[in-house]
Amino acid sequence: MSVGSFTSLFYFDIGAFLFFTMAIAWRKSLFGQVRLLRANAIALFLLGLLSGIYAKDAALIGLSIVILLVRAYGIPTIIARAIPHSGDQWESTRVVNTTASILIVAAITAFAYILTEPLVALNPTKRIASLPVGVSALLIAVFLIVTRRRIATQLIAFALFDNAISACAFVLTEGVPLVVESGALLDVLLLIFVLVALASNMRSQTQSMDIAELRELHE
Amino acid sequence: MSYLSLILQITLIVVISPLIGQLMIKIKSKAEGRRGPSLLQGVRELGKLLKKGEINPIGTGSAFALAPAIYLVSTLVLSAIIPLIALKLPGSSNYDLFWVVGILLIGTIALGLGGLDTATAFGGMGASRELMVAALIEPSILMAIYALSIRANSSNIFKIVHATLSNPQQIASPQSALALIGLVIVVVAEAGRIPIDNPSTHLELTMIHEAMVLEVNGPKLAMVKLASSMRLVILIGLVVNLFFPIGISYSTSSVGSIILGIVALVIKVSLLAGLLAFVEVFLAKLRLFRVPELLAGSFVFGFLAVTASYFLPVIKA
Repeated sequence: MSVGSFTSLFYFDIGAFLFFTMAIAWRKSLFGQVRLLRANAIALFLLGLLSGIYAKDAALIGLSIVILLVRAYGIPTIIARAIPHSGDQWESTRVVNTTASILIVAAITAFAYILTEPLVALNPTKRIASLPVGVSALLIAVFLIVTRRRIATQLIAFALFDNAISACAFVLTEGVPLVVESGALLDVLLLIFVLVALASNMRSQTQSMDIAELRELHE
Repeated sequence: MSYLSLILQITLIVVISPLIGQLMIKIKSKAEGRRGPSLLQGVRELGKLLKKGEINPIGTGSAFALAPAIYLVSTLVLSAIIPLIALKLPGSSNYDLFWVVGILLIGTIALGLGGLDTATAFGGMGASRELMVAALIEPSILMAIYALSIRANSSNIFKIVHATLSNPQQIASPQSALALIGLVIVVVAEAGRIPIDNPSTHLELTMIHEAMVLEVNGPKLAMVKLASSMRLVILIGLVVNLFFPIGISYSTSSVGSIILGIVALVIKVSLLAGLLAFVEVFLAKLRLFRVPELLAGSFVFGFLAVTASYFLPVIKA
């Protein structure tokens, strides 16, 4: 693979990653958000795969396959179980409404570009120039965690946060070592397991997950 | 020859736009399992309207009288300043993409004033909705244009198309893809198609464009209808040529390349219009209060296209 075609494929893929991140902030349907998270993780897998093929690094290709299995299949499937199959599958109450959210997402992207400029200037290669995408996905995930109320969206945002960290790693250092990555994956997986179990437990007891409607756990 | 090709381009748009509009209706009908009217139905309707007399609502003044003419003339001007069949037309070095925005708005505002002039509930409601949509479209269309002009180092439409033609791999970049999505949403909104507006219904609560021109009749309605379908064709042609300028003629000197340009334009516009009509079958109209959400989305696509051109620089071949 030549440098030119690698860079243009890499850019296209990281553009898709940014697009799916932004789309998660836009969609209201919870199952739609899970599908977008899958697409986001597939874009992340392709980032790893491309870098692996380009650097002829078998470990990196293996790592990206692990990412495909856990992040594009495992985690979204578990999160989908936190969505009630009957009843409200829409995220209708948000702290910040949709129009404002997507405009804030745009502002975050520009902010991430300004924020990472000195970092990119340290080693201005074409690949590292796309670091703002990873950082903006990180900030968008934090924004979503703060402004969304449904447990499923918060889990999605949390998974997105982790995807963004991996994307930054792929952009900066051709991926993290397999040990570190698998440790992080297990961590995230365990946390999501616990939260999904907690969520279904709470829903079976209180019929609602909205903090504003909980009476018993109020201070 | 260059003036001849200009006249040819304008005539082509006038002639094909009722047909393309009818083609979209036909494709929609087929996809829904109906037969649909014949392709010439649009032309027949225009002929019928032209033969009719005119009724002016009591109390209307010059705004109502002039609106359809201004709408049509602005659309004709628009069809003269866009590279649709050739890359060089008289005055082509002056035509900015910003002109397109301005001229589109002149027509919309003239028609909006005409709607207000009738002083009926529908006219005012339609005009206010149409102008709301127009005001939301403007920033996103400007953003998308900005993103495209970074690529070509110029906001001249002809230069942008030329740059795309001479370096086609620029199209395969994320910023172009984002700008394309943003522009397609804008075109759909500007042309008043589903999911923003439904041109085939006259339902009180949901109509936008149709409410604004409810009192327009006879030959004036023919002008408005023709101009609306021309706008759709011009905008589709603009998007097609900004992103896929295959077949467009480099100069206006040879007859063969002009004919090729015409054929290519007709095929490309029909394909994209058909695709739009087909996709519309699966969509429902958005509630008016959710329209700003969609247009804010298209603004963000344009904005991301602009920022992406800074952190994902264009790769030169």
